[in-house]
Amino acid sequence: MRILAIDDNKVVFSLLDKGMSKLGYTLDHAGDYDQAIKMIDVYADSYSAILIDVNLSGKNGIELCKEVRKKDKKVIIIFISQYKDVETKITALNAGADDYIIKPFSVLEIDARIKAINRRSPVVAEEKVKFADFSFNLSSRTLLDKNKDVVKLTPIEFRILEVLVNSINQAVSREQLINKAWNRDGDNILSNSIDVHIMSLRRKIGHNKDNNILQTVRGFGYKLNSK
Amino acid sequence: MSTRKEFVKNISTNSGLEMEEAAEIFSEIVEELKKINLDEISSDKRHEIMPLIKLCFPSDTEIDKENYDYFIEMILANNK
Repeated sequence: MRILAIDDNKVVFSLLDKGMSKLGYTLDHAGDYDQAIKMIDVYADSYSAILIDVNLSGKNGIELCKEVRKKDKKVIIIFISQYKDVETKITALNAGADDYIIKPFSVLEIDARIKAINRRSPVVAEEKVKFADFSFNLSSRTLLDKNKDVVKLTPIEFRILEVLVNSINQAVSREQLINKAWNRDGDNILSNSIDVHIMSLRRKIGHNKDNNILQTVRGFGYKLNSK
Repeated sequence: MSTRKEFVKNISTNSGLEMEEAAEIFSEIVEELKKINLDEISSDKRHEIMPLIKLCFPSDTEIDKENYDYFIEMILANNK
């Protein structure tokens, strides 16, 4: 699941990034209202949840929440805020938020709340990303080809594809891929191990020089192209 | 008087992070607190750092705008 965290405090984001990544989330960060709106416009359907701090530089988080709701009725919005007062909580929920968590927070609580909201509205959990002739469903963990036949992937291939899909049309470094797909530091991964899995993945999705679906970005990493 | 180890343990308990990650967050909090001038701190900045301070102490610790500078000093004095 890809999440956008909007908070102008770097330590809070760092905490979220460390904690949520380990729980299998991919986290993007926006530091203020304008940056958040830009990211939501660009990656419109990619975010499963958006975490917003009430206090933001520029317009506040409540205004941002209203704006996001106008654009996307389904995405999960959770406020993370230092304000405990009932009035702020009610304002936030009335602005379109699904939940409100008080700082300091536990990443485990955020994870549990996202899952709880997803249980109530399973449509939100349905997250399909299309690339080339394939449909990748993050919820059911399946990859379907153009005939809607399931493409069998190994667990590591699925995780590699998940990381690439979450940054579709953007280059992902080898280090990022290793850290996220293997969920640990890249030091212990044999350098050529990733190449073997990429090669296998390419074979399964019919990559070739002409379609260049899973592109090598020389000296950096890989990029999954949507078309 | 709390020690660095206790701060890190509290961060881990309060946030759900592993100890190693909590230690990194503690270092970031210390850096953030070092930048603050307590005599000139704005209300917004105080709101921003309050959760970071609370993260370093057991969840039942009463920390508010009247006493938070005491807790900041405790962190800065025992961050090694």
